[in-house]
Amino acid sequence: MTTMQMKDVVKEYTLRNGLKTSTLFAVNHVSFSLESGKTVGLVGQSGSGKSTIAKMLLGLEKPTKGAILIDGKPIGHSREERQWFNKNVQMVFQDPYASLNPYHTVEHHIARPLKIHHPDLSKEEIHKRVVDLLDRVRLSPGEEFASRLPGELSGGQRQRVAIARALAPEPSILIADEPVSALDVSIRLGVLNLIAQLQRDENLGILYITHDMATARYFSDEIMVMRKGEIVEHGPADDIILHPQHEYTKTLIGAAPDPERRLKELKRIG
Amino acid sequence: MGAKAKRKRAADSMIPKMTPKLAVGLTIVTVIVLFAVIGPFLLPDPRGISDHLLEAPSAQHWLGTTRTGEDVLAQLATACRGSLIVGVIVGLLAVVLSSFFGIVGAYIGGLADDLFSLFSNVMLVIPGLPLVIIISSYLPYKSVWLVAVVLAITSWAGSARVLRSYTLSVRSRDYVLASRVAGEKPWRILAVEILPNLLPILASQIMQAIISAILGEAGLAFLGLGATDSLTWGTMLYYAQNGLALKQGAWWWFIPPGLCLALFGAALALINFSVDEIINPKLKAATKSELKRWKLEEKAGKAKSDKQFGTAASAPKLGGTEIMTEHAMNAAVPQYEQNPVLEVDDFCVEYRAEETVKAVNHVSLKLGRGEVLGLAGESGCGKSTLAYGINRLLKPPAVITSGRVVFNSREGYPIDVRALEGKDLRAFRWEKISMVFQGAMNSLNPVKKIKDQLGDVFVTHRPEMDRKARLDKCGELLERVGVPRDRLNAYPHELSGGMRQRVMIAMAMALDPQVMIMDEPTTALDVVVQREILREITRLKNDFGFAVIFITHDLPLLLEISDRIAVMRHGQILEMNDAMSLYTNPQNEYTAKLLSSFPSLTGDRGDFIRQGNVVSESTEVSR
Repeated sequence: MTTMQMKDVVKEYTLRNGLKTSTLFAVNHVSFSLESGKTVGLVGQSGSGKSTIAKMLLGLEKPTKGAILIDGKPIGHSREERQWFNKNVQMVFQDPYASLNPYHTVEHHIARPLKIHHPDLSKEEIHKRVVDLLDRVRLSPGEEFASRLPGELSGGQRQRVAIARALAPEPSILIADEPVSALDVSIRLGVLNLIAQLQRDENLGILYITHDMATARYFSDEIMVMRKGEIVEHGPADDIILHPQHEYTKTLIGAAPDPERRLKELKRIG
Repeated sequence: MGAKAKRKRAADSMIPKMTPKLAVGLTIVTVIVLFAVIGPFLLPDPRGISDHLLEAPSAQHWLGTTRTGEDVLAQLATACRGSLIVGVIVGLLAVVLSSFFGIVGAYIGGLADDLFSLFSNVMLVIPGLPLVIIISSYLPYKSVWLVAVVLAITSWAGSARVLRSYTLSVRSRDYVLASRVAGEKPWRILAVEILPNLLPILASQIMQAIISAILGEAGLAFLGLGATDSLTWGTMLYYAQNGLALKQGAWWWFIPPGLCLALFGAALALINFSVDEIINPKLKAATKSELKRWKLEEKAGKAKSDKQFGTAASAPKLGGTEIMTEHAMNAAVPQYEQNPVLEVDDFCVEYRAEETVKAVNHVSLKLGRGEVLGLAGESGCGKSTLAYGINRLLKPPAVITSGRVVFNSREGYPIDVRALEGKDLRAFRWEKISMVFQGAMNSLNPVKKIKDQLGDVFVTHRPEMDRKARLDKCGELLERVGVPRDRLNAYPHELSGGMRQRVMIAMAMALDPQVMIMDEPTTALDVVVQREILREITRLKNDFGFAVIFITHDLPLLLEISDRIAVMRHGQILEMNDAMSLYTNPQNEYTAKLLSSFPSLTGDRGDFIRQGNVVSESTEVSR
């Protein structure tokens, strides 16, 4: 059971325009927590600060103010502490065409995190785990996929490799930054269902970042709506979508394509 | 598969394909290198003086002799060796230096990067020649190494800048970020994740460094500033010049080294072309004979289709009349059948890559006047190829192998789009059918004001318009799409993404076209902005009566805005029906599958399962 918390986090960027400087509040007093087994959806327009939150949770950016706690403790600076943190918090990137190194095989991508976080494993054991992981993300036979290059895989297969890579260190928190928006529509649900399945198996805490309200609703337990660095609404998924309180949430939901709406309109006219 | 074989395959993508250019380049380089390695052992002493002075080529001296009676062929062999050694030493030194300052600096970033690039820039402006002149005036004896080092330190900076910019782009890729998230050590990220992807560019930089080193050394030597006692192509030319070879017509003395220099430079440049093709695959060009063959095939395909459907002149015309009024229409026959603005029959497009890909496969459709036809499909299904093909915007290796496209202009005459050429074709595009491209907001020219870019359409298509009228028209267009007129003087970067997209739509509307093809016009936009743009398109369509072909993978979006929807897969239209029938009663399995891929916002969860059993593997459509 792992809990990751953001406590009153602020992230400022200083913008330089000639000699003038101005401050951009990419993230403004944000607090929430992620728990094992639960999914929190983070929705908002681009530029709202969603990705900055992901980067801070991963330790790739430091907050200007506030604290990020994991099981109540701040993230340490020593090599061991960083290592432990990297093992526990992993990420699935948006674009599987960019997140796999075209030069290396599938095996390399999954074996590296295994080697880093389990230095005592032998070569054979690592290979066995790689194949296991590939089978678990339904790239079967894993033995065959392990030796392929990213260029030989389809978008959906690549994203499965990326998911296997994220699972390799056995993390407790997974950050999924628009994990399906770069994929073809007919395979999106398959990948999301896979992540959901793995979440149940591993008791993962997931932060699901997206701009798609519909999948956020079904995939998340809670939804946070973010706008210009602030969380404007936060609550149980169905409440947010079906009974939005904040104006901005209503705008977002109103903007999402919904064929049912047109069907009703046509019926009214007809 | 063994680890070795894997690594080999990984490296395969980095090795250039054998092309005529590469073959010629490699052959020349091999011959010269072999000559330089073996020649000096077989040939007499290059400095050996004989009493055959300045003799033309003969059986004894294949390339003649110099003024002091040395054998030119023997000299040439040693000179090849000398030049190549300098080239390789300088090439390697320069690449080591430029890699260090370019790659390492860019990877560390921050202050180190600033300092490193400042240093590179300072080195870039230090001129090599004066530096060597100064050094040579201080040193009576200059070794080859000294000359090589001087050439190296004055030549690495340019390539450091190239490597830096490449590294910056690779460094920000997600796979590098992913390695950091995995906890990989910095030096390993640089060596294992970044460096292999820089190999082609490194190879190209080495080759360039070698060429410029050999030329640079030749230049120095020709001025008499080369290494003391060395023999290179440059020194040979220097002695030939001193010996007045040109004046005395002793061509055999200066042509061989000059030719070697030129050939070797050309050969490395040829190899570099092939390396460049790996870095940028778009450079791979089709050969002339292929282009010719494709053109003939296209013609043959058109002739066949013309026979099948009749030429445009005999195309089914609606009594040669103008647009039919609503009253005249037979209610039983849909509008797109009675009065289509665009008719496409049996349209086929193939891509002639290594394997022929049938991108569009026997597609037929009709577009009614003022109708919105949605073209839905996933990546690679051929929807964009179809749209580009209709507008004759495809370039080789795309070949239209069959089909007929008839555009029924509202003035009442049909146009056979496939028969258009040159001026007529240019006039047709944009006037009759205009396009809003994928990622349109980035297709504006960043250094031109909005009014100039909009005005360009009129400059091309309405040359008779004067400046003032053009400006008025541009302002009117902007207002039409909901952008204030005063934005005419703005540059694209001063507008938001949504605004830029509106400008693109204004541009597409400029000539009052009858059909607008929109290729994923809102994919790059936020949902909220997307909604605004869609409303705008619908409003404009109602006001101006153009028909729209709207291409996207977003079926829910299409269902909201289209009259009819065609679902494409593998180059074919699987199902075409009016939007609501398609939604409520899909006939094709794939359509149903696409529909179920979008969980409804307010309805139930559809195929989406978070609890319970996993969806079977069939969720992933096989390709």
